[in-house]
Amino acid sequence: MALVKAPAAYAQVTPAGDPATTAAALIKPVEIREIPDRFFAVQDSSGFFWQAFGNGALVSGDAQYLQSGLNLLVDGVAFAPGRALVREPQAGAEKIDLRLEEKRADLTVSRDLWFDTRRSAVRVFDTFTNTSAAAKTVTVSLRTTYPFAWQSLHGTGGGLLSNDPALQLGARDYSLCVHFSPSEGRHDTLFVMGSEKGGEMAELKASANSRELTFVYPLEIAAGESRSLLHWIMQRNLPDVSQDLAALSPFIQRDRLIVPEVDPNSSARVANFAPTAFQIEATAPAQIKALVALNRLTDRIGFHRRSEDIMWMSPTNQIAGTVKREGSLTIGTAYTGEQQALIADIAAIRGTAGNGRDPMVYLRDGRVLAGPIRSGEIAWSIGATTTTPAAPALAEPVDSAMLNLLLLATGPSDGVAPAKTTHFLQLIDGTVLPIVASTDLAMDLTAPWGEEKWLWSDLVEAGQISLPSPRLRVVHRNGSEVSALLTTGTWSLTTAAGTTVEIPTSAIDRLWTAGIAGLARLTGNPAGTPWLDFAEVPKGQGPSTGFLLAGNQLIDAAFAGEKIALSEGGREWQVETARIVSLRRSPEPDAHGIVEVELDNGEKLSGRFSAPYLALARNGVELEIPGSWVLGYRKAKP
Amino acid sequence: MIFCQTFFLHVRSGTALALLILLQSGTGFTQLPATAVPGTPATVPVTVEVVPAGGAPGNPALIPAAFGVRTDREGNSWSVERDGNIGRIGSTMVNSGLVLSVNDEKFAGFQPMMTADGSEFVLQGVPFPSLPGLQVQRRVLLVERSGGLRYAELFYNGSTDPIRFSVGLMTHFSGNYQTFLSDRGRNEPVILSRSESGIVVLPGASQSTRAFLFTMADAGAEAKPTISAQNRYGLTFRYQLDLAPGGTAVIVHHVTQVVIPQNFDRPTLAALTRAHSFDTLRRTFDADWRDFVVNYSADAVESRSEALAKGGVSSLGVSPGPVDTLAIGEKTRLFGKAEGGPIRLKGRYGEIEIALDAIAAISGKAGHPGREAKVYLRDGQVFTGEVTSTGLSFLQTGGARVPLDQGTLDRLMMSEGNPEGAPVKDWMSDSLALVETHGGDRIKVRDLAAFSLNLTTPWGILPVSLDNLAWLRPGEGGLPGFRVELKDGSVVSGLADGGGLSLGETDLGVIALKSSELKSIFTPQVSTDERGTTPAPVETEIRVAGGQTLVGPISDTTVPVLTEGNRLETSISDIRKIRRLESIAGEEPAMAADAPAFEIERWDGGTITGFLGLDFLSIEVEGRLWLVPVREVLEIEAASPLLTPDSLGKIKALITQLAADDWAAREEATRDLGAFGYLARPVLKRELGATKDPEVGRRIERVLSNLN
Repeated sequence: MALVKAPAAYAQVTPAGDPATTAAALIKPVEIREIPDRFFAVQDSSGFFWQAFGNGALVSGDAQYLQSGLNLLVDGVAFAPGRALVREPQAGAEKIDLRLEEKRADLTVSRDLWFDTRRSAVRVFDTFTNTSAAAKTVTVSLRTTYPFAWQSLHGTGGGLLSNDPALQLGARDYSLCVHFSPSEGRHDTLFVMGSEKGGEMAELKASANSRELTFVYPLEIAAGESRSLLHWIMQRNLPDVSQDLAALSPFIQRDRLIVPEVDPNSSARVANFAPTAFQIEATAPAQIKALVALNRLTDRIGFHRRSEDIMWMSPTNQIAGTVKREGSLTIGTAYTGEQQALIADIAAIRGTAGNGRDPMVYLRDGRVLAGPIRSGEIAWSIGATTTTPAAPALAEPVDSAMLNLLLLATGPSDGVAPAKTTHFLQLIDGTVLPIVASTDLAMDLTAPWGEEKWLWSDLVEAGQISLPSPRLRVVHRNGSEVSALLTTGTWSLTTAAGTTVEIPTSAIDRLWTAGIAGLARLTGNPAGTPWLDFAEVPKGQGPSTGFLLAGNQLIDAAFAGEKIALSEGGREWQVETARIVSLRRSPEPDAHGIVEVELDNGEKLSGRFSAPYLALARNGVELEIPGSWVLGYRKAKP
Repeated sequence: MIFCQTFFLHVRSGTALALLILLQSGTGFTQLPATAVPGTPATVPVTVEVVPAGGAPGNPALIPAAFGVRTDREGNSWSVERDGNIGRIGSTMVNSGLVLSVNDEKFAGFQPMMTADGSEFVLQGVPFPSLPGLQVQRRVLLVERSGGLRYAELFYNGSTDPIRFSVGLMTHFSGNYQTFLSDRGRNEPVILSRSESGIVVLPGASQSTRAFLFTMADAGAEAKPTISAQNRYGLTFRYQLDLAPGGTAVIVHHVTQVVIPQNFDRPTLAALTRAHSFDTLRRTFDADWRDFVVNYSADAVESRSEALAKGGVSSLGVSPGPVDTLAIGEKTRLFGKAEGGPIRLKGRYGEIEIALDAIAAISGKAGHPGREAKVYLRDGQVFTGEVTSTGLSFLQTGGARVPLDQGTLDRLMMSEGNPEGAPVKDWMSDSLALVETHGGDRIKVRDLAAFSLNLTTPWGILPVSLDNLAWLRPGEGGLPGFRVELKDGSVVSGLADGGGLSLGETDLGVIALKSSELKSIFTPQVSTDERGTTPAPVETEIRVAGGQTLVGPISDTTVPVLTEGNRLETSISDIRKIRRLESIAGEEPAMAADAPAFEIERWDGGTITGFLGLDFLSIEVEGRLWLVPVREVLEIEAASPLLTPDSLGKIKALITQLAADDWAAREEATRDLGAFGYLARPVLKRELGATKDPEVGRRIERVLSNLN
């Protein structure tokens, strides 16, 4: 089981207060007047290569796949930019993008390419500004060519597009997949084309040799006005074309674009999407991230919760509507008895989908109430959404026993923890309790080297991991990360409501500090792959000065003795520990037991520990650790 | 025409890897049992049903193979050819992959078969003329979850002579690859080191958009291949195998296509290879051959006897002979007799004076002042510390005398056997346990009452006494912590609590060890890995995550089982077995990830599939009640409930009725016996062997087969 992590798929937002990423966001694009044949090359997180030609068309780097993607022609004339604004990957900017601009006699054409490496796609945003005094119609062609013939073209959901009588997207298709035969060994191209409902649909043209595909849009542009086209293009290896929805879901869900990075002022001018596709989120992403338990669920199902009420039935089956906000639910919880929750305070309800288990009610303040719903009713109107109020719909009660997942629209109270909450404690049944921990509250742990007390106030996070056997992974503010066991017993804790709860330690699943920035750093693999060296520990994890011990144990500690003895090949020498800046196991084959020690003057020594134990100083206590456990040491640079 | 073919075939008869002969004649297959692989349980006559293509997934029966392109969940397409080679697909960088050869003779498959669901090819090889008796089979599985192809190369020595041979796996690329790196970042290694498991081959410019990742061994395995490159267009992995007559060996490896890494640092490579490690692949190992895998370490965990030998006198690299041996360095060996003594040792845990006759060996500091000397006693104890002795010397056979002191002494190996001719008494003869420390000490424990160790486990404290302990050893894979095997079969991982370990009175005096000093505890009890067969449980066995087994009664009297919206309160005493399911029909996998589903077998033969409506099971272990989260439970097997005399009487009466004159009475008795379910099985099995009435036998077989 992985530790708590922030949603990654949609994490296009700079974490608050992180100076490094804030600086990255501020990096300005560089202006280029002499347009090169090709711009920089980028590899996305799925491994696919991207590069832009000087005319803004995309190519799959040196790989023989995409010859020319979404090559822009306006009124039959190829786009020929004279100016470019570039933010290359090497610049260290968080966003890699390229803006190209061409001025024609009465038309300005621009192309804005955003290489979204995290979601593995390129957003292509083309804008056409009529600089003449009269309205005009321009014909925009976006041509994609391949060096090899594709096998078939598919609409959304994998439906085969037919050429008979003419190639066209289906009425509800908002995407297109260019599929190659598996025997060709080439991956597919997916395009996000437009809204499911509303927006102009492209006219499709395909060459007879199945190597050239063109989208044509006739755009009417009033004098002095602009119109735009937005497309996402991605390369994917799909086992089956019908699995395109999963690939598309990070970009568009339920006819709403997800983080399209389009200026809100421009969104109304986008021709191929309905204005409703550009829904502005009222809730800051950081607030949404604070709902750790709910995010773990939505990440797992790959769904983006946003400002509308959604009944989620399956990855391909969801429906929008409105939950009546009046009233409350009473939930019988195992540890805190009956709890009442105002429906207006509920972020989501996970039902039991007919399997008979107890539902879970996720509150906007981060709490989760797990247990049967004793009283109260959830009234749901299909179709009438908070954003598009339709004709009044009849509100119907929702049976939580049959419900799979009901997600209520995001709101300003999301992520605002109950007053005084210092920590959230998640229990094995899914319950999340807001805890008020005094500064001297500590947990007793059994570590491999003995027993320890960890103050709650020093904790970043603790969570049960299942490998190699169930145990608690505990992360300290100073970077220590230890797999230990909780001393069994019962915790007596004070909740944010001021009540005292008794929690058996066997029921504890995870614990995290409320409001702490940077939970995303805890996405390492604490037990799956053993780290053999500090170089393998993810950046930002581990203490600045400390040891890496077998079993991925990272502890802040120093050498307790003034010297350690190393021996090799019949010789032995003493090394002053104060001069050691790093220690690691030799990566060479057959060098079992040999450690490499780097001194402050850059000299390196290697040998075996002469003594079977190494004395470490940790929190003022001297620990004797078997030398075989010690895999690495590093000392903070002064 | 009759066409004869030999197969290793999965046959679910215990864990036997049965060697079967299939005879193909005209319309279908019939099959005769042949010799079982020695060392495995005897093969029972088995009927293999040949099912049509598209048969039920999971059916072990094989059907003729249909080759073609298959695409895994990662979107990589694979063309497996009739010899098991990977064929060229479009723009991928491999022309012909993993061509198997034995002593440079290419494997040639014939009459290829596959599982009914088409996920695994079973390719039997034609015999190799130069290696008579060697039978080879390739099993190529499209890995469902993480993608790629898992190969299992099975070798069986059917001859009467041992065979040594090399196994080659050759891959030709469509152009020059750029380079290859080990999963630890070493560039173009010739042999994988201890922590490495495979290589990633990076395509040349414009060759492909994907790299090839070959996983060739478990990171901790001893058997790893050499890697030879052929001018950047070919790579050959070569393993060396020795097979005793009747021996079986399996080499498992895996290939997949991965994103070309942007960085070649260890974290990037580790992330790339993690999903395809042997720990992940292990679930694809078939129970019938997984014990024979030579390039996997997890199943070859150090046995108790190996662990005992490792820290003992045999670790010194000098064999005891008829006279004493003074070993200096790698080569120098002097023979003669050690004289003087006694030896006085002052160690971490106390002081002791040892007569020379009681010593099996001494290892000195050999010029390393920071090192401790070690004295190995003939009874198995080992003491480390500072050694002093007056007049200790070594009289060479030729008469020259070498004075010995711990500072310069390398190793002194005393003659084998007891100098006085009396039989050597090992630690088991007069002690309850041998405790080993990380410092290398091995200390006998005799004081049952004083011995005290509490193990902290995820579910509670496990008090370890010498009454219940079979073996305590370090955590697997070098992890801190312990793995404890109890005499009742429990296997639990945990950490010693802060109290450490009290040994009571020992040869060094009263000793209390810190938890970080304790490494192993050996007892005379045979550990689970040496017991061989797995008997039916005499107490309820609960297998939980991390390879642990808890043995003890479940205190809950009933468990609620949620099935299709129904809540069935099921008595624990009615449950024969509970098995965790990977998924359950109708449940959205993403939603069910934190609530495992189970299949429950009842003693009466009924089954229930669903969720357990509780978070914990209460299990009584060593007199303590542990709350074990249901999500950690993998399997529960209940001990067979005792038949009441009343039930036994009824079953016997019904068996008698099976021979009744009236057909209806025989039918009714058969039906009623079935209602007793598993409870009746032992009695029915006994009667099946005893009855001479063919109809009674057939009816009993029918009842038993319904239970299966």
